[in-house]
Amino acid sequence: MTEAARKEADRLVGRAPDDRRALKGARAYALALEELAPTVGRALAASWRFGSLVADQPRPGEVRLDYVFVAPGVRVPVVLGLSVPPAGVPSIALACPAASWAEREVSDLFGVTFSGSPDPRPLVHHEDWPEGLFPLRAGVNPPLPVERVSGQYPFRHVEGEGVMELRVGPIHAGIIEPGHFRFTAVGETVLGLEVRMFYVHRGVERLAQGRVPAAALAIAERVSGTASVAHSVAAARAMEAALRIEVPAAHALVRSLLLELERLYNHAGDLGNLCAGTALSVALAEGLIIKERLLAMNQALSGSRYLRNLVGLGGVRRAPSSADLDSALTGATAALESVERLANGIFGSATNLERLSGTGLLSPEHVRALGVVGVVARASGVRTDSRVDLAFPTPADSEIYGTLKPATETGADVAARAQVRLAEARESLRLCQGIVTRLADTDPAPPGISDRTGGEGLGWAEGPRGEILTFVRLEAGRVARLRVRSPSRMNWPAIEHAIPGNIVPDFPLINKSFNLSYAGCDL
Amino acid sequence: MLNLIIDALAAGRVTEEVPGPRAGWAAAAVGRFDLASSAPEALRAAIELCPAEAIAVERSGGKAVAVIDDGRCVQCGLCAEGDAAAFKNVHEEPAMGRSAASLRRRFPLEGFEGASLGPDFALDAHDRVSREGARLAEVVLKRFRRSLHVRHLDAGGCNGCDWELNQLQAPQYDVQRFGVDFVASPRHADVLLVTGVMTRNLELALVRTLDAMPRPRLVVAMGACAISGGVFGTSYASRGGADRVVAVDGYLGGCPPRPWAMIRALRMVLE
Amino acid sequence: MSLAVRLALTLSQAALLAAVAPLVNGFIKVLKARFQRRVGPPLTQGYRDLAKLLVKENLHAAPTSALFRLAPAVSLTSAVLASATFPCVAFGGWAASGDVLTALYVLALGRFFTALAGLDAASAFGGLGSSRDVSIAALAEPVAVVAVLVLAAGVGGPPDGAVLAGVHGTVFTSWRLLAAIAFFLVVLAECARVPVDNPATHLELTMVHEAMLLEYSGREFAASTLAAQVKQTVLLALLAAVFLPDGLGASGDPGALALSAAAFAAKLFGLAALVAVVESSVAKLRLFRVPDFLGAAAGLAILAYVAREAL
Repeated sequence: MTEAARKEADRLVGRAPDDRRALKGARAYALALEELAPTVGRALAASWRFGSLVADQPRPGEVRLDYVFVAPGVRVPVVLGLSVPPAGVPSIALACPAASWAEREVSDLFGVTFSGSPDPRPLVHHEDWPEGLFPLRAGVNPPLPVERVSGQYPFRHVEGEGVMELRVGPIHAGIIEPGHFRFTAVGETVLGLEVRMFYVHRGVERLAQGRVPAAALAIAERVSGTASVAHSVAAARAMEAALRIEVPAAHALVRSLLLELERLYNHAGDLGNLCAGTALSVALAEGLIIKERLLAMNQALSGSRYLRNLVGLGGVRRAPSSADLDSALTGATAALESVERLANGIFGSATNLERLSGTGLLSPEHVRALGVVGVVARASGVRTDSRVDLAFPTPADSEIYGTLKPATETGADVAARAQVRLAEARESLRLCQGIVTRLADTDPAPPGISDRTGGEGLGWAEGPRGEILTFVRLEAGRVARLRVRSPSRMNWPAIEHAIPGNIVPDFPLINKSFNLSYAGCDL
Repeated sequence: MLNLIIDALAAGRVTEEVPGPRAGWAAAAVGRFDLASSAPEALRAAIELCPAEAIAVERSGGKAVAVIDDGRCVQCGLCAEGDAAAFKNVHEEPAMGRSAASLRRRFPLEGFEGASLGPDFALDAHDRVSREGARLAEVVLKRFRRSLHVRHLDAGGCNGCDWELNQLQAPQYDVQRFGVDFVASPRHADVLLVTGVMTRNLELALVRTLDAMPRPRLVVAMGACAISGGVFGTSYASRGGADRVVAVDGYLGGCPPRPWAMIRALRMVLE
Repeated sequence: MSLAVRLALTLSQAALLAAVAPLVNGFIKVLKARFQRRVGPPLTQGYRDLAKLLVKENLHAAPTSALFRLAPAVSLTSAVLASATFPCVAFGGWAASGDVLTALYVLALGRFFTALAGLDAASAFGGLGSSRDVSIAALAEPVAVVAVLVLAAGVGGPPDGAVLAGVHGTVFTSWRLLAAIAFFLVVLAECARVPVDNPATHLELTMVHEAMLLEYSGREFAASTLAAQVKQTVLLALLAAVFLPDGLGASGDPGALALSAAAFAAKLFGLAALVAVVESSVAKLRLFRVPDFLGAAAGLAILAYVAREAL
């Protein structure tokens, strides 16, 4: 079936994969500039989902653009690669709105211009960034701190009788990350929302360059705090693909266990956190109690409350003992029981359910057009989950996840997103049980190694918020390019479409149901 | 409708006593790192691996010292991996102090030959120590100890510190019982608690938030990023620690610092 | 009894209610904390917060006018004045006595100034809070007035606090309970409590009352905070003394007076506990459902009148 889908992809692109390209963990095709738009058109018609746009400069003077798609049944990302001088690339954002932010980012960081773009405004750089300075281009090293210029960001503007504009952030009143929201509202009803991000842009991709893999993985672990495992696994898998490292079953299984434990503590915490939006204080406290227990359990297992410091190149840096694994499983089982009780409180309270139902609707059409991933997509009835869409690099994982049926809901509202989280928490515990049982029969092994020091690879992982796609190019044993596509990057633009028609005070609740990472988006 | 309350009352209180600095530490818990080996190759490997440039060997006069900066260390443990590693995890909380420099811990090296290694901390001109906190009158400190309102500002971290701060409100920690509370407005705040590296795009926001806070007030930087930039350091997009932009009264290392350490650090600045 | 004695007693009642207001609020907080399986702040945290605010400076955003500086004093004064319009423990000339409607109007004056101050700082949230607050007030105040008038109809005279409490205190009736419930729902709305507002929230877009106070600092913030707490205590006291006065009437006998004072305190804190229970068991309403909630309160008040006529 996979073979048939791959043949179908070849037919769609009109050629065989590019065998000169050393990119591993993907099916890569080489395209001429003028072929891009028609090929993307056919791909979208065949339900390919836009995944990422990777800009890279393997040779100075030119920028290579890789358009990464996830095509049904192909089981590895499909890459449409362009080698072009950094100007005059036709924009695909009109046909494929999911690519809009990616194109804007590439033009900010690499200076590539996209012709015919529906939204050519800067994205990563704010209004005081000097024009013509592209910080990810090879050889660009501006004196620090980079000078500030005066400028103004052209926000969308709505006028009309009774229309008021409400500006919120970047600093918010709670313990929340920074981002700017502009509402246009009539009374309390929202007409439109514009999200302005990249306040926490730290230049992660640039910082990883020149680092040895272990140090780069430590940076990847800190892309987004509550998706530490998922980001480091995706980066490690990309490096392993690049270096042709095979990960032994014992190591791959521990990674999968960590990924599911990460999902469990996130979903448990998110369910409780939702109650901050509805002022159901007892359930909010209960959610914090459960999350704290899971964080303490994480620490007992890994040393870190956020499961850091275990994922390494070729496997895991330290194998947990079977006693550690058993007590983690016991802790997770007890936590899920509490989560079930919490869910009874959340869905059983009529006043609370009234707040969740019908709030923050996101249509499946928007999900598909914007390439939304993770819980948010699944709650709108779109079944995308990289644990099913994409193959696992090791057979042991494939067996464990062979039985996975991603939870979906069709409600497309806050309640549906909460239901999906609950179902996934249950599923994660079931997977953990399978993994621990399987680990008991698996022989310990040293992590996978390789003699290679260079190469390119794509890696992926299904984090608590959805699919992460990471590209890595290594040269002489060091990272030459790290490109992270977090789930929040795909999902942030979607929230603009879930808010209109709701009332202003429901925004925090809807935002919590999306649970987007600002750090993961802004990099 | 009342079942939420009835269940909660039946389940009982979960608030924990404040543990001592070393209590409650699982053997595997990542803590701070002390020198384990003076072997030059082990130190070189540790400096090479460290993603946060937190390790250096300083030479002054005839003596050499290994320095580990808890204001930069992200507790990744790469420097403590393997039998011949230069450092070891000692399962204690990372350092806290009133200046960023006070978080650097020094270990004399025996028989170390050769030049300095790693980053030169002396060049690190940040560490703008605030005079404001140190000059607070006793009456103010006394009132702050009984009522401390905190305004949090994420200057650009990975959000890990923020989640730990959020856990301070979990019933296990119940930070309100110490008279500490998080407030929505900088006007209501006594402490500006900064987490995350100082990004270019938030510098102005940090300055404005502090300007909006009534005096007397304190600024505390928590987590490696807010102190030095952590793994993100200084780049086109960020300035490093918060004290590049505002004067800071207290520092707490960690990536992220644990909730109990955060509570202790808040107490420290009021001593 | 001489005017001087009456005045002294009235003032001491007002002072006492103002003094316990932070305690009542702290009591609600501690109770809520218990429902959340934690210890919660000390009962006296409210006083500690106020003491701390006294050593902080007052900051004013650039666009604010004198009105902004005046509003906290006005709202605090109005809350304290309102507490002097009805007797909490003894009827029949022992303490304050006056028109209960006056209390409601005096409190409305405080709200009017707070709402104006919210607008004065010209911040988005202040305006949002003011607009939401007066929208809610426009619905809550009439219901409060109707509930008081239903009581007055029972007496057949003006809504004089002492008379109302004295007459009704003699016999418990079901219609009076209905009026009391209606007034309790109004108290939840007036005091910015769940399900209308959430005093514990940090989500600026959802705030009502707190949004108006975001710009205040130092002594002015202390006054605004205390004003809100006094208002809450006054409304709960009004509920306890005028709507549910059973057991509060006392002659001049000091023993009986002490007994009725204890009964009053028990009722006051009992009602505060009820606030905590309600606040911990239901979610906050969507803003556009608040009219339904206050409509239900109005319905109860009218039902109370019908019931009185029928029974």
